[in-house]
Amino acid sequence: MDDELIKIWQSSPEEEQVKFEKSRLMIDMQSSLDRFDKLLKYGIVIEQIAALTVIPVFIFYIYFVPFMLSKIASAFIALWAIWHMFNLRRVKKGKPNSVSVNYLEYLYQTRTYLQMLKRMGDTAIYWYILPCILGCLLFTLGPIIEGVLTGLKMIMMLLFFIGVGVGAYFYIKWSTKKFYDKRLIKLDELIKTMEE
Amino acid sequence: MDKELEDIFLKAVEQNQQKLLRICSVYAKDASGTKDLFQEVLFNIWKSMPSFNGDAAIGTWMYRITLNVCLRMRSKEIKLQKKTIRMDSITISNLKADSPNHTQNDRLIALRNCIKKLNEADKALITLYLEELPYKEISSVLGLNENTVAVKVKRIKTKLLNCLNQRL
Repeated sequence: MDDELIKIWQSSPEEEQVKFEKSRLMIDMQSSLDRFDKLLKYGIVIEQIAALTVIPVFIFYIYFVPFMLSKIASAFIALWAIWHMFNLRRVKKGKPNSVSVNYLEYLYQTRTYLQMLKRMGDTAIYWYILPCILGCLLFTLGPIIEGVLTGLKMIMMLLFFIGVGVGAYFYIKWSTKKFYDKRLIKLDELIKTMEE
Repeated sequence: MDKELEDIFLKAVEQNQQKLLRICSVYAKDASGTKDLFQEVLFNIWKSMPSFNGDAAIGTWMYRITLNVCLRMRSKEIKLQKKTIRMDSITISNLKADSPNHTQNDRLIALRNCIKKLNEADKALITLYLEELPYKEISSVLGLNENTVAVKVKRIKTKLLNCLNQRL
């Protein structure tokens, strides 16, 4: 019966055959590789451009904004953006890029990577949302204390930053749960089955 | 990439295409999904070619990539039709139930459906076994020891036979 299973499995009928044109396949492969590389770089580049834009803008503010509290906030935001850039590099390095390792090893690597992303999502309030919002609030408090920004404008600005912070917190919490929790449970089950 | 790698790649794909396609078929929902997955597998093999150092046979190395790509595609729950690579150079004809080898096709379809019902780990293992890879190579592809492979194969085969008997 063993042979029978193998025979059935390998009985790929005429109706189901792969055909490929060698010359065109190589062109397809190369263009796919180019497209893939572009796509991969795109996501990381966007994040890095954002961080790179923030750094000089706030360094500029340190010198040119007249309010002391805003200067301090600018330095704080610029430092945070630099730290964030290094963090992005660390995340990129952790991604399991090689699909040529054995299956179990690939599962371990993927789990470690997802756990790292989940941990980042779970703690985003401390390293992402609070520093950002705190920086922006401090920056806004500068002109408020000096009496330049008052009334409705001041309230609107403060409410805007707080709103963005709260929104970002719930979005990250939701996306972490949606994208990582389920996958990690599945991965754990799979690793457990493999190791049984 | 240099011509030598290109030749190795093309030759290996030619030799293993049906085997890889069979593995993809149990991870995809339908024929179109199989083709998408197969293209993704080929692309990843091509992308990894510079890292192939000949420690394992190229066929074994390709199986590793195939299983990892199939796993990755499932875990990402990507809508393959929309996000995978489109290669016009590859065509795969579909399995038809009303073909001359009607009975054989039925049995193959039943077997694939039974395999699809297995969990991911068992699915990976049994597909390699059905491709007649020695236990040593299966253990190298999956990262398990040979004894575990042997025990698991026995258990999965019993499951498959029970499932097939119910379906045929």
